[in-house]
Amino acid sequence: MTDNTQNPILRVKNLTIDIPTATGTLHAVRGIDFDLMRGETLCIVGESGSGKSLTSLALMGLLGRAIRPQADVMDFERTALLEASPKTLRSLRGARMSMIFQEPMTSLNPSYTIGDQLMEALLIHGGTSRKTARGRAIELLQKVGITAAESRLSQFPHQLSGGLRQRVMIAMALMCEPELIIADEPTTALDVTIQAQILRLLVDLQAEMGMALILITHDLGVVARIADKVAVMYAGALVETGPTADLFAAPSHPYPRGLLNCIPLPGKPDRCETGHYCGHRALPRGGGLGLHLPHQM
Amino acid sequence: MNSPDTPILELRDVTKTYTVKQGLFGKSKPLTALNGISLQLNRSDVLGLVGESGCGKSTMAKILLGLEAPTSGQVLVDGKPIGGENRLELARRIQPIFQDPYSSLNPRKSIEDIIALPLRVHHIGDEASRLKKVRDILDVVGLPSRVLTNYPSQMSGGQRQRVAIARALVMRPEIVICDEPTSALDVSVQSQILNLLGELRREFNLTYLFISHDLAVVEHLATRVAVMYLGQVVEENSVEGMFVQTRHPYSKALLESVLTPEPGLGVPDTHLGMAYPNPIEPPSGCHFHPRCAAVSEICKQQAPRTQLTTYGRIKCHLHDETVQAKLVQA
Amino acid sequence: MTHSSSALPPDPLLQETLAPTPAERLRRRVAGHKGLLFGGVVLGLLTIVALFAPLIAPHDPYAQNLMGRMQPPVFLDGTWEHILGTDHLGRDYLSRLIYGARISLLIGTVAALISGTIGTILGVSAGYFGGRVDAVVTFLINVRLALPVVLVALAVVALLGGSLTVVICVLGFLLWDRFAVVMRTSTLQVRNRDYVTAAQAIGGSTPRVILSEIMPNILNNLIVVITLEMAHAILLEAVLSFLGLGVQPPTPSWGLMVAEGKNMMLFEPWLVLIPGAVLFVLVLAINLLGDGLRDVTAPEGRN
Repeated sequence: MTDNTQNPILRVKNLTIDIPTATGTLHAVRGIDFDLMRGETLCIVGESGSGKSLTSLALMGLLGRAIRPQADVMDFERTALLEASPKTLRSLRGARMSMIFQEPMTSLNPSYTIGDQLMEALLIHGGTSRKTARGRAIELLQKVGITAAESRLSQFPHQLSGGLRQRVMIAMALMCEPELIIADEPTTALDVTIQAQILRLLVDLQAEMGMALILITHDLGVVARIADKVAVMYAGALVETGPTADLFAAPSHPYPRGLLNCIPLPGKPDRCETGHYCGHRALPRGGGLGLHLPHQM
Repeated sequence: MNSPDTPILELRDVTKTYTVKQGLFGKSKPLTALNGISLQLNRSDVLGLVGESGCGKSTMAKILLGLEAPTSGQVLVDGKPIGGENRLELARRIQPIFQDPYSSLNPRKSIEDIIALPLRVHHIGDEASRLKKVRDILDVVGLPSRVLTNYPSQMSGGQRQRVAIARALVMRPEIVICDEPTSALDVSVQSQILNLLGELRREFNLTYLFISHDLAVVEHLATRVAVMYLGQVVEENSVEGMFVQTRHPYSKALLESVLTPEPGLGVPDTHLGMAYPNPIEPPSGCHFHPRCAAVSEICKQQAPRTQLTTYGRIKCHLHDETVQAKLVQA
Repeated sequence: MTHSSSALPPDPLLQETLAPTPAERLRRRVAGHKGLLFGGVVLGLLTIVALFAPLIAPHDPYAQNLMGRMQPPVFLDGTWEHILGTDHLGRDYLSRLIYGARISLLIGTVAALISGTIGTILGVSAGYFGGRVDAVVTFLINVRLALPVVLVALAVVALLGGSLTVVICVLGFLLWDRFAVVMRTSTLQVRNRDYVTAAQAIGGSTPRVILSEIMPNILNNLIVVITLEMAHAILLEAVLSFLGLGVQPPTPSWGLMVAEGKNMMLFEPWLVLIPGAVLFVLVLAINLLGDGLRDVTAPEGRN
C-alpha cells in the first residue's frame, strides 16, 4: 500500500456490531479494521451472513435504532461517523457517500419515475434548480450507457430490465459526485454479460471521477478483476486483508484458500474443501474456525 | 425396440408462442419464446444450455417437464413423443432441480414429506419402504437422516438444495433438468452442489440438461453446450469445441464475460450493446445483430442459416461460406 | 454438513443452531401475543357458555312472567333471582343472553363456513387457473361488491320471511367476496413458487397440488378472513333482527333483545346496553383473535 502520501478518505478501527436477540447477543461484526484511500477499490468478500452487508450499512449510518455499532475510529475524511449528528449524516449520505444495493427492483421506489428518483438526491441537498437537476440526470443516464436517456426519465422502474435498473441505481448514486461509493453485491442478480458491463462501467466512472469504492461481493472473480485490496470476512471477523494480487497468489488464511479452490475452473481440482458454513451462533467460543475447515480438523 | 444410439431426449423443431396483451386495452401480440429448437441429448450426456435471462431457457424446461405443450414441434423421450396421457410416466423419467432452494421446498412440510411426495404420488411401495427409500436418498445427497423431521426454514441454502436434489432423484429418473441449480448459493456451497451433481450423474447414469447463464459452471459439468439467444439455438458444440474455438460472436461475448479470479486482467469489454431486445418485437435478420461487434449489412436483412460444423452447428453469417463468398465477390 | 458436534463444549448460543420447527415458533409467538390470547379466551368462554346454555342458564329463556316484568338487574337494586333483571315479558334476561350467544355464534360460524367455502373455491380456482376462470370470478366478485349487503339481505328476508335458516343462508351467500379476493391473491402469490411447479413435475394431480401444496400455505390468510367474516355476520344478524327481519321472536337473539328494549331505552337503558355490550365484546374478541392470528402466522419459511 502507498501509505502516508495522502490521508485515507475512510478509516475504520475495531468496528463491532452486536445485535441483541431474544436468545442473547449476536456478535455480527467483531472488531474489523480497514483504511481506504481516494480512488481506491476495496472488496469485502464473505458468504451470506458473514457481516459484510451490516458493515456497509454501519458505514452509511443506516443500521436502524436497535443496533448500535461501536468502533474506536470510524472516520469519513474528518467526520467521525459514529458521533456525527443525524443531520450531518444526512448531508453526507447521497452527497459525499452513496450506496448501490443488490436488488434494484426493491431499492427503487415503484411509484415514482426514474427522473424523480434521480433528481431527488440533488434537490434534497439543495442549491440546485429542477432544470439543472434534470440536465444532470440525463447526462448521468447517458454516462451509464442508457440510450434514449431523456425519455427514460418519465419511465417507472418496472418498465426497465434488471440491467437497466441497476444502471439507474448507479446513476442515482453518482448524482452528487460522491467521494465514496459503497456497492453491496451490485451485480449478483444480473446475467454475466450484464455483470461485466456494469462492473466495467463502475471502474471507468471511478477512474474518471476519482471516487473510492467499496464493493461487497462473494464472487472472487469480481474481486480479482477490480479490487485494489481485499478484505475477507468470515463469521463477522476480518480473516485476511491485503493487496489483491497477494491474496490470490498466496492466501494465508484457510478460508480464502478454500474459497479459491471452490471456483469451477478448467484444470482445477474437482473437490471443494471448504467446510460447510453454519452461521455465527454455531461458532465455538473464541471465534475459531476449526469446525468448518478441513485444513484445521 | 430402440437402437442404442437413439437419443434419450430429443427436441424436434420445437416452437412455443405466447400471446401477450400490451396494456389494458392493447392489442394481443405473439411472443415467440422458443423458435424452432432442435436438440438431442444422448444417454449420460450433460447438455449445458446457456443464455441470458429471457432467452427461453425456462420455457424450455417447462416444456420438457410436460408442464406446457409446445405450439408446434415434438419432444421425444427415447424416440417416443411425449403427450398428455403419459404425464406420470414422463414424471418418472424427467425431474427438475430449481434455482432457488428457498422457493422450491414447501415451507409447511417436513423434509420427509417433501422427499416422499413423488413416491406417494406414484403409489410406490408402502409407508415403510418409502421411508427407507427417503433415508437412502438422503444418504446419497449427503444429509444425515435426522433432518427428516426438519422443516425447510431450519436448513441452510446448500442443505435445502440437497433436499431438492433428493426429491428429484428419489424416483431414480433418467433425465434431470437443472435450472441454474447453483446460482442462488454461496460460492463455497456452489461447488459442493456441482460436485454432488457430478458424482450423482456417474453413480446413477443420469442425463442432465443444465441450464445456466454462467459458462464457467457449464464447462465444469457439461459434455455439450448449446447457446440460446432470443428463443433460438445460435451455436451448439462439444464442451472442448466451445471453449477451444468459439465461433459465434454471442458465445464469445458470453465467454469473455466470465470473470475468472485472475488479478490484473481488469474487467473485460464484451462489446455487447447493453439492451437485450424485446422478444415481442425481435430485431430483423439475425436477432443478434444490434449487439454484435462483427455486424455486416446482410445480418440486418437476412436470418442466418444453421451450418453444421465439425463438432456441432452454428447460426451466423460469419460462418456461412456461401454468404462470405458472396460478400467477397461484392 | 454437520450442524454442531457433540464434542463441543455446551454453549448457550449453540442451542440456536437448529432453528425451532414452524409449529414451535408459532406456539412461542402465540404465547407472546396479548390481543390474540384475550380474543381467544373470551371467544372460548362464550363458546362454552353457548354450548352448555341449558346447564348454565338459571331460568327458561322463554318462560314469561307478566307479574315480574322489567325487574332491574342486581347492580340496579334488583334481586339475585334475576341477576340481569327481566324483560318486558318478564323473561330472565341473563338466560336470554346465554341462549342468544348460541344464535350469534351459530350464525357467525355457519355463515362464515358457507361463505368461506364459496369464496375459497372461487378465489383459489381463479388464482390457480387464471385466464378465463379468473375473468369470470373477478366479474362475479365485482357484481357481488356492487350489491349493498344490508339492502339485499333485507329484500330477501322480506320476501322469504325471517327465520334462522334464511338469515344464515342469506349471510352465507352474500359474504363470500372477501374470501374470494383474499384467496385469489394468496393463491397467485403461491402458485408460481417452485415447490408448486415441482409437485406438478412429479405428476401430482391438480386437486392434489391445490390441496397439499397451495392450501397449507394460504391457510393462515383463510383463518384470518374467517374470523373477520364471522364478526361481520354476527353484526349483520343483529342488524337484521333489530329491524325485525332476522331471527323472529321469541327466539332469544342479541339483536332482537336490543330491538325489544329500544322502546324502553330512555327509562331502562340497561335493556339495550347489556345485549349491546355483550355483542360488542364478542365482536371485539373475534376481531382481536383474527388480528392476532394474522400477526403470528405471518409468512415464514423464507427467513
